[in-house]
Amino acid sequence: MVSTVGGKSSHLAGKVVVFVILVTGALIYLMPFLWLIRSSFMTTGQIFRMPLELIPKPFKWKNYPQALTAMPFFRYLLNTLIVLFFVEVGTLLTAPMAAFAFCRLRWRGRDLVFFIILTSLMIPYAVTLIPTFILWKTLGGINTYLPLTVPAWFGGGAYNIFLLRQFFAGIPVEFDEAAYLDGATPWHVLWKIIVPLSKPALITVAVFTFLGVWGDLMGPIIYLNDAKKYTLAVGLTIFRGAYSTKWNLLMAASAVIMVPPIILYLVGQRYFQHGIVISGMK
Amino acid sequence: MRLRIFLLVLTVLFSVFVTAKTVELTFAFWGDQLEAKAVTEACEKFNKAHPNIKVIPMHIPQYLEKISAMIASGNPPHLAYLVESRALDWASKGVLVDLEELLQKDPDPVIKNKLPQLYWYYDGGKKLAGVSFAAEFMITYYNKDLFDKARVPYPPTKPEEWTWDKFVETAKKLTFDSKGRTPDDPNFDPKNIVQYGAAIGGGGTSPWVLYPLLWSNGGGIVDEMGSEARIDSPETIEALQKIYDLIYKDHSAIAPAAADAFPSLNVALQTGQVAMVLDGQWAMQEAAQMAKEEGMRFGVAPLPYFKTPITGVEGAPIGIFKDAVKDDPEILQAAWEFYKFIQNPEQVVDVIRSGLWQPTTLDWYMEEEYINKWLNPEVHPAEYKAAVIDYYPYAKPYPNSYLKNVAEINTIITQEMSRIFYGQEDIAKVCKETAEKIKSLLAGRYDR
Amino acid sequence: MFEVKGCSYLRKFERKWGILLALPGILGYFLWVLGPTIAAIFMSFTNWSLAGSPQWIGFENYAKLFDDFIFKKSIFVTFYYAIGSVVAGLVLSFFWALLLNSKIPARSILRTIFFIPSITPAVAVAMVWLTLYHPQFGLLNHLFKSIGLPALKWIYDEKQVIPAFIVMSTWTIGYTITIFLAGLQGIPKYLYEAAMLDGATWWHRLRHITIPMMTPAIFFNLLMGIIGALQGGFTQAYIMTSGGPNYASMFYTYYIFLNGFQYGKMGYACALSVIMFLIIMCLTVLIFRTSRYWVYYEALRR
Repeated sequence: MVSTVGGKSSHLAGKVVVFVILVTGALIYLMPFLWLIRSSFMTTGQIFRMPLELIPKPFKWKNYPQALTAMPFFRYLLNTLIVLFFVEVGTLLTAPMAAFAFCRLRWRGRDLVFFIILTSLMIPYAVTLIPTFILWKTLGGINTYLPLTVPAWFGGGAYNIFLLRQFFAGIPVEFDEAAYLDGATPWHVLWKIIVPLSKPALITVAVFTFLGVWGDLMGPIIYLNDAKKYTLAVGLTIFRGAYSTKWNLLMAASAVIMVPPIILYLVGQRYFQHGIVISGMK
Repeated sequence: MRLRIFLLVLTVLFSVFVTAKTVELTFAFWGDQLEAKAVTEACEKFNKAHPNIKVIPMHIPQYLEKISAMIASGNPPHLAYLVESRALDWASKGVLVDLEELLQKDPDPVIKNKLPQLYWYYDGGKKLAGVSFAAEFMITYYNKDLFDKARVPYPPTKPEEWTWDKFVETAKKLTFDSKGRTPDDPNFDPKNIVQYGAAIGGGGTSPWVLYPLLWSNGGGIVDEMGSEARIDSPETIEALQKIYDLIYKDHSAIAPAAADAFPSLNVALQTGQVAMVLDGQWAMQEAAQMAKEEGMRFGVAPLPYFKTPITGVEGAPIGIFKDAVKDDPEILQAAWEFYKFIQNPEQVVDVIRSGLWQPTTLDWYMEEEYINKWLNPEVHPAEYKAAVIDYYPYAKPYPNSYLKNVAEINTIITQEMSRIFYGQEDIAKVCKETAEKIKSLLAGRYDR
Repeated sequence: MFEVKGCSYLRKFERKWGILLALPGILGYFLWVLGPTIAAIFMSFTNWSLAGSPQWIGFENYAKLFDDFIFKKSIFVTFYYAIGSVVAGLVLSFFWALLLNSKIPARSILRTIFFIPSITPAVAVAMVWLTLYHPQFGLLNHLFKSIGLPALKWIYDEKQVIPAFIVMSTWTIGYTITIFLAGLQGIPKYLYEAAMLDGATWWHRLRHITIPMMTPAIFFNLLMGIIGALQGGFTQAYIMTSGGPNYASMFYTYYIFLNGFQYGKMGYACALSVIMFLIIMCLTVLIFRTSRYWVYYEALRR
């Protein structure tokens, strides 16, 4: 807690304690991933042998090429990237707009409208699945990427709007007011002032959106008929049959598919720094 | 001049012939890599043989959600695997083509010659929704090495000889605690069992294995007409008690909690933690793979029985959707042609030989020529024919293929049985309460 | 400075821009959410089964709810899980976020590690926990036995299954940790500097600076946590327990799925959804209303 709650960052004993706790926790949280990796190099039979065996014997390197050729991996990767691109751009454009409007501008009915938008998260997916499907059928979007990408351009979802609203609400109003005095429009204030100050929040939205697309299983299956258009998440299902699952190959494929999100998160951490440098403002 | 006219007429005729409508059919199915490959190849074979029909295979994961969406939006595929719990309900709501009509006009030998248990009738038995595309019996798998080590004779292949008492006796001889004692030993330590004689699929809660065992004692879930509960009949309670005793009194069958934690019982068999497993025939493919990769020697036998030898047979049907065919006789005919084709076990023989499916036509169970096509020495153990193929007269279909509200009833049964097998509650009490709970759901059968 | 009291030009200006910028979000709701929501509500008054045409049956579905013992069990199970997992999740993720915000080496890597379970495909997570929870050979019981504790039945015991799932849910708190981390970045350093000049202890700083400044993030995680948990547990029920043993893990959304897709009772499933919708809405209104008293916004203009 040393730098979180302020405090001399040179308080060594405190830092060591924190580090030890974190490493212990990290090892616990790493367990499922380690299980996945070790299983990806085994035969299915060995994976579930009890008590748990840690070292694959024999080491089945072949699982990886086998898993990656079981599905058209590169095509699915490309498809996923296409959907990802449109969803990210759409979300990162329209969600900050909405969050800004719900937080830093005042207009009648604002909070009611915000609440209504929030209710979109409250109705279980199982029952909106079919009506939404029929909606898209009438719009002619079946077997296209439209149902997967277009909604992102309309606010990117209540979750993201709400998230950004909370973060925008932590930035002092003085910034806005100063800009308005200089004749700026809210558009300018949003993109040139608020957004640069909200890097951690925006990175969070970007990463979460990435994960949403990367792992979306039901969306592509329901809306796409052509197997050629499937995404990576759907590709993983090839290892599950009605009666049995090829666990070793599933784990190998999952391991590969998990790499990009991990790298993205790691890289995104670089922007998680104190965003507001208030020096001499007050 | 006459030559030119001739050529012109020829060209016109040719172009008319070539642009004769190609009927496109969509066929939706589920399955793993192997099944998908086999079905896709069958479709291609069909397309080559029928130049004016094009079958487009649709391999769908998360099948139930997707097919439900397609049906609800009025755009179902032409042909599709039907999820068992929904098939007859869909049929009775009028979304499926009645195959009985087609069969009257065209009594195809393949379709007419299926195992009688595999026809899905509705509307009081007058109409046919579909026929199963594969069959699966419930059988006993066993680890031959464990039997050899304990010097216990293998289970018999004749259904009549594999009585429940013999099954219990065998299981006891193959259950060992950490000091090598069997349950008959007075110092047996039930807290430290290293090998179990038996594992019952689902630990006793899975309908697949439980129902045939109940039937064999004269019990069951519902009566013949599907309007009265039988779950609380004395025969059912007696059977449940005997299964329970095997697990908790004789300690010779693995407790459901422990059994469920294995993703498939073959793993338990292969690792030597269990000597016998009661499971579906579908596990054959995986068992064969383990035999190959890990050197497990396994055998098969019929299901043990209480009073009458019996087993269950399950297999989802294929149906034709009305909304896709749209009353167009040409499309309907094309769909029927493909239906007959894909229902012929010859077209999917690869999956049959892999051990995953059993064929559906009687010929394959009775005629040597077909039995030889079925048996794969790398997959099927030597006693397979005697234990499984010859077992077909003893197979009874599950309520899935005829009972109304079967999905809801199955959920309640599974949950209530877990009170017995997990919670160790009093069997008679649970059965009585279960009968009460399913009473409102008993609405009879589709086929009577 | 921005006194809107009589300054009609500024009010119009803000309103114009407010609606303009919120327009994509508002349209999004009307286009993709409103229709299906109304459809679901409408369907709850019918006996729709996805095949064939639905017939109006009025409040019959809702009346059936009163006699549905599984519905009642499901509500209980879902709330039990929601309260447990939200409380445990919030406390733990706040704790980890505080630690992960310290100036320590390998910070980025450690943060990523805590996030990895949330990236792992649900099927893999389920399998890991199945092997951990194995009554006989699982790692957890192995550990328990080695330190003298009795082995538990975990997800195979109707009393232990929900606590077992709550423990499992504390694994995937990567999202909440990340949001807390982002929130921590937004606390101006000068506040801490000033407090330390006044001689405040770390506990004091935590209580009077960190937590108050984090209330917007806490509010978000609390609300989203509740909305998510009440609709959660589906994957666990679907893959691991099928709602058992003895309905003890019959999560609400799983029951809705069973009714809508497995039983063909989509109308009833919609009625179940409407009930949950109303419950969540009431809870949300409640939390929003009370947030006035404990959430501190630097700049949420009212």
